[in-house]
Amino acid sequence: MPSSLVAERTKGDLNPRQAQAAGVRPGGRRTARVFTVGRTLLGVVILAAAWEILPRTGLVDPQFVTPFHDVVRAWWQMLTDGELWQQVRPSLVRAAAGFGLAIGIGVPLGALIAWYRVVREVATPVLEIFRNTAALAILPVFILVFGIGETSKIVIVCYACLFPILLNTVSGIASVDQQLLRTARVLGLSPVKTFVQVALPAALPTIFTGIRIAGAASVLVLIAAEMVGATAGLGYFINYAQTTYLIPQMYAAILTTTLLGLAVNYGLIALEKRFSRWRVA
Amino acid sequence: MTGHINLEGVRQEFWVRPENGADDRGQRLFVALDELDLEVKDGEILTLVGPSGCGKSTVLDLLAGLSRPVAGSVQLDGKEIEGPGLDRGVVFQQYTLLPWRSALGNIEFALEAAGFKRSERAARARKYLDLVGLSDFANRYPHELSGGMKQRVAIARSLSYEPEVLLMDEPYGALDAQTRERLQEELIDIWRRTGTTIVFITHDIEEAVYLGQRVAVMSARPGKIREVIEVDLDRSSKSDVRSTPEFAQYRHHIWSLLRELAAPVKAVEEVEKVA
Repeated sequence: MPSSLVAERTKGDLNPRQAQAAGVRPGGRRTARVFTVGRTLLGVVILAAAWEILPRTGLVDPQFVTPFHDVVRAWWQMLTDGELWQQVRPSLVRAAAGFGLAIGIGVPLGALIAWYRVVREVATPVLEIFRNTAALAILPVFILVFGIGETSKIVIVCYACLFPILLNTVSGIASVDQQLLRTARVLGLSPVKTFVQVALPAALPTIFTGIRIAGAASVLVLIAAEMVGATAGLGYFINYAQTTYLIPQMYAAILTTTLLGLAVNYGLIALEKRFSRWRVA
Repeated sequence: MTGHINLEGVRQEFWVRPENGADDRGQRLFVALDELDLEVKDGEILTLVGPSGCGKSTVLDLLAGLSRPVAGSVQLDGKEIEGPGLDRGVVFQQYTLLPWRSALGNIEFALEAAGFKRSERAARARKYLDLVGLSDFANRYPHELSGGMKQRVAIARSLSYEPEVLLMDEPYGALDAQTRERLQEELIDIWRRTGTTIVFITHDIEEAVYLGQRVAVMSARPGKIREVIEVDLDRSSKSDVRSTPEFAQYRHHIWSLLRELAAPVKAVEEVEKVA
């Protein structure tokens, strides 16, 4: 009988103080770990199996939904003959440039907005307006202004990434525990030192959440932008493959965007862990 | 040894809004302290006790230099307190350790602010961590320490740059009774060893009597010193001071004072409820 969420969350267990007093950590048995990993994999296996079986049995049209093994074969083919890299490389460059630019602008700007009350009061409504304007809605404007070259794609990624980073930086810095700031003041720390040594580290976890959201957004927005106006890149290729009826290749490219998104997300999570070892697990 | 504090005719006001008022109309002036006089002698522990909301923390903010009084003077060693300074160390109720720095790192942080040379910091931080009995926990992060340990680190941090006065704002308020008693005993011990003047704010009468050589009792609305009581107890003996008849007498005296002070306020609140 699988346990429900209620049973799982209300189970009697070592409480944190008991664990601390005994100098131990609560944790399941090792076999339970193995099963957890197994269940995680099981979900993925079921998905792949459905993808394979549904077109084969004719429940869905195999012409439009290529069976999984054909997609994998096409993907491997594209990987080995360099086609995949040709499309991934420009996408990666654009995403990284836009994302990096957004961090470079968003963190200092957000810090400035949060630190000075006047700036915060002036900037907040403006930020709300921009934040609620869908990035893709103003893509045509960017194409108009920056042309269909690299610039417009980098700018749109930067725009999409900027707001999660900016807003999280503002809220992270603005909500620094006032007791920490009082402590800094009592110690006679200068405003600059207070910012660098207290406010910024305290806000880092919140800022990082913004960076992670931005990382996911960078891939999503870029693919869409490349579909509209580009001559290379994963988004362009997905569109191209669909119109030229290279269906397995299309799926292979879609799968690649998924892998890219996963890599960005887990990469950032790993980075976050490195920088926040002091946090309560 | 210096660390002589003198407050004379201190008045402090704040602009406040009624709790249910959503807009800025109805702002009024709230007098937190009025005509408050208090003297803290060199090297003594003075405890400041009073009902909640009587302005105890406002007094501490003035002493810490986080705010300036509207009228009157707040002096340390004959000089007006103009702002925060390293001649005073402050321990707040909430844990104010930087969560991303270890116990040792937190003390070093204060030493860095105080301008100690890098080479000196680690040794000095260790010395003070040792003073509060936490040498073995130097590399623990705050979330790995218990509440009592965190406050010990905060005390070590405030003492590390050797201020003349240690200001403590209900530092043990969030701790369980057993830990609180142990920390009170440790504080007396630390005070004997360092000779630092200590101003200790609390709403716990027993804590006030146990720690204070003198106990200043505050009244509320507006806050002023009602009475200063000399406490003559032998805390050096290993026996349980808190269970002696003298202790009970002091406790009862202060309890009666506070009860007397609280009565009129309560009457007002009841009238308001009826209306």
